[in-house]
Amino acid sequence: MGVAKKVLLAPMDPVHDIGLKMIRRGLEEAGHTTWLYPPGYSPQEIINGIIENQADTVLISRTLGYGVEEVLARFVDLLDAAGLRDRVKTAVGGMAIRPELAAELGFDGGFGPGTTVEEAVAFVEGRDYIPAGRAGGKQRYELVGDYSYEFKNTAIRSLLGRITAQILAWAGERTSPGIERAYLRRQMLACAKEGGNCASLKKDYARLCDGVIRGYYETGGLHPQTRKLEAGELSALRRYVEQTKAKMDPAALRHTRQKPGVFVQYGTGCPSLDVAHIKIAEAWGADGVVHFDPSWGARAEGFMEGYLTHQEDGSVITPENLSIIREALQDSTLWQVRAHRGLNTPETVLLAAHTGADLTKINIAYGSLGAGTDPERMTVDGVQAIRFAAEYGLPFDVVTNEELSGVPAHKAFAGMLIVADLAISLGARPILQPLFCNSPEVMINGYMADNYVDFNAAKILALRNIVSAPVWPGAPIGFLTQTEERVQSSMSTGLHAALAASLGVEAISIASSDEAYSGGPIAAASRTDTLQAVKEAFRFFGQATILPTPTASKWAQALEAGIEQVLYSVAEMGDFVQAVHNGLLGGREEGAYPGRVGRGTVRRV
Amino acid sequence: MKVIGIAGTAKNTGKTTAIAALINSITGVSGLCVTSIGYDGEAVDNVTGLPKPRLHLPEGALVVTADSCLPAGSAVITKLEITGLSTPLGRLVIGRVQRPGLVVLAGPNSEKALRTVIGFLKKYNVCLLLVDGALGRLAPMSAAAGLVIATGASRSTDTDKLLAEVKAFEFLLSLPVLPVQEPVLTVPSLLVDDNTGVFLPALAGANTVDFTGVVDIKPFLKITEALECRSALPLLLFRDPVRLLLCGDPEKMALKLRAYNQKGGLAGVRSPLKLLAVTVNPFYPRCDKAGKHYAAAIDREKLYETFSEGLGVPVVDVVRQGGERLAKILCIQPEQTDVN
Repeated sequence: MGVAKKVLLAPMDPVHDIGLKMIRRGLEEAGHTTWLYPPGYSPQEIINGIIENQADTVLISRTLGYGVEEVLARFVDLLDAAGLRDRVKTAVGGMAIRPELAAELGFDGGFGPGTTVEEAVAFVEGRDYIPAGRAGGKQRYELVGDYSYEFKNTAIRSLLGRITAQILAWAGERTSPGIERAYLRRQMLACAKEGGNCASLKKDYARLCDGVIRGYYETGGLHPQTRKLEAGELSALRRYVEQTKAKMDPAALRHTRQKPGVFVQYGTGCPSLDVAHIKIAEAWGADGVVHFDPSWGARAEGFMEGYLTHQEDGSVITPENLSIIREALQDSTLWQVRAHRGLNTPETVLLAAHTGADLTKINIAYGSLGAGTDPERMTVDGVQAIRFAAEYGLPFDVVTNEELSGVPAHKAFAGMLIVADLAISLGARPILQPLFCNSPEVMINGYMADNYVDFNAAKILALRNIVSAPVWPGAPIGFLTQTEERVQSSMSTGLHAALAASLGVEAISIASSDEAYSGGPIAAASRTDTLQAVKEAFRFFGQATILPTPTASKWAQALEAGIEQVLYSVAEMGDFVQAVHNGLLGGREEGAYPGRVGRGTVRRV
Repeated sequence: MKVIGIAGTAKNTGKTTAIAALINSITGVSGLCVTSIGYDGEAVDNVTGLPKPRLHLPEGALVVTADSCLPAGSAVITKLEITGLSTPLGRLVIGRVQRPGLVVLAGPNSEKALRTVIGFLKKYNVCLLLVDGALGRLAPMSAAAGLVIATGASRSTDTDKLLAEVKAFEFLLSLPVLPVQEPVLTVPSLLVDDNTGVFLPALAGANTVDFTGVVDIKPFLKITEALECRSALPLLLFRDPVRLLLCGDPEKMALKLRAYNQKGGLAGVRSPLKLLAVTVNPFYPRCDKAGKHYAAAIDREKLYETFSEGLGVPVVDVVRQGGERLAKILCIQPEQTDVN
């Protein structure tokens, strides 16, 4: 604090002096002298008080109604005419006060709803107000944290060691068109960077692609569901990004806890619309964004190039599309490009790393059982993708979305831990991604008949008992608990976020309030609904915790035991791919069908 | 540089409408600069929800507004200088309109700030600075040389009552500039009765009572009551007419000063502020039973005629007569719009 100030606080209103009382306490704690007048003093009496006490700041509070503005304006006028205006700083606060109105009334500052005591103290002291946690602008969220990746459950560690060794030995003798394309892509990127002639590389690349994608390289034809962004659209997008960045002032979502980071997903099919969603999410406080690509992109061999738009169920991955989205991000925003489930997994990790992504997503078990990729192909490609992630220092989450098909959590977690252990052994940094969801398993067994807390908490407790690793529930949290009703949907997201915070996880992914039921593009208002709901939930709980019932611990133990049993079966089988086919990580009766896309494309080296 | 302020007797009396009409009628005049002592730019009133007039500026005009307001309108404005003054909406800057369009203004909010701005503008060859008022605020207008008062049904739907108030304004704004007569009793701002007592004993020996600040009508009446016991009435000197208008009851003040003059006393000001014209606006926001505001109006003809007959200064119905008449009135008195 600099020089101690003399501050007169006057509620020009019969009852509304609570805010001023709080500010007074803050000012006195900061060493300033204050006088708090009773409500209802006239402008003349307040100015007389300023003169008598030689106050250098006056803070007025007043609710607004027709005619009240004239009273406030008269106060400022009298202060000016009394020759005090230039040595007495003035501010007005109240429910309807905005900076524009404060300017109209002639005050130096105007404080509306949500003003903090710190903000008022900063005004009095003549400092710029920087909200807590926003000093120097929004900081990048530190996601991975300080985890040892040590397995606490030694039996599980031993089983995973056997499985990992088997997978690495098996995959080490095999390759696929996906892996070969990834290496070609690396050469193509280097060639383009050096400004060389990349035609022959592209020719080789095209030979490893499916018909439609190959057609792009041979004839310039596009996938029927895409078109190129026009030059005007691109320049408008860049202009929009420039203008939006200039006025970006991201909100702070977290209250007093440091965790979790909050991610939102985008994938409208149109890079321009994606960027608009990203900028909205950033402004409302999201720490990170996740790129969703279209499902056919996972089933087709190879990537096209250029700025492509008009896809319907995700945004096409091309080097250019990823680059323009990267350009649009705030420096503080974490960016995840998913690579987890299809025929382009290694190349996606490579492109993500080259375009500056912070995170990616890989899961061999889910890609094989829930996303339609042949287990053999997914395993070979997955191992290579993990190798790239390790090489480029790209942490990745291991999602367990097969739970949504009906695979029990303990089987999905066994698959997740296998991939995590592979990653740890290859020097990568995996993030465990259990679902916070009302899955088919949960519905059938009534695990959430009473509450949504216990089973989700059990998942986190079980994982914490097994390994020291970051946990990032997703994706999005509250899956299958939200309805088409926006308030319900937002509240459900907010409460699941509060549970995540209470459990101390590293991050969460959230949906918009209309995501599950939009039937089309997601509305911006729905995007902000859930971000606001999460913010409010964090504010509500602060450092308070949500206490699960004793059932959570019981279920956690059961989960851990179930995981160990599954891993034992897989290890005993001695063939991971076969174990997937045999349903050890999720069977047909559980909605898990080993994929067929890419079957027969793996070859020995 | 002519500095003309457009002040209102209340919110929605037609200040911005008058200034907008004036700007439209003088397009082509070089050296125009516009600012506001409040905030101009919202499309609808924040209390009534009724549409508000907007200011559209031609290419080349200067504006003085908060930094954050420059990109807020449709006009393209190039920033020329940062003044070092601030507003709740950011630093006050001087800008030049490159592409005509709507502007958002949040300008100097005190008399001293307006004087500082006038100082800044001297190097930009500004010939005419129009200062838009805010609500019923008057204090910063002391820095102007000429004043247009906007009044109308938003202040009162009683035409006679409106006229009485503006006649008081007219009187107070026409008080002569008088020299000090020694000995002088200096009275600073007097806003509550309790503070009057300390000055009463000293009144007896003063030939001039010099009110250097603002004096509320109640303590002022106590002082004049004490003075009127004297055989020789001292000169009552006020810093400027704005301080008188802010006394809390300008009509009572005008009445008292007229009576004081009739009794042989003399009242005057140190610095003048010329009333150039009065604009009248018959419209006002009215509230229905559901609490929704709508635009209502009093008799337009009667309002205009009552004011034209009752006042010595020109009266303009801007919406009906356009800005040309107001511009003409202001231009025929250029010698009176020089800076103090």
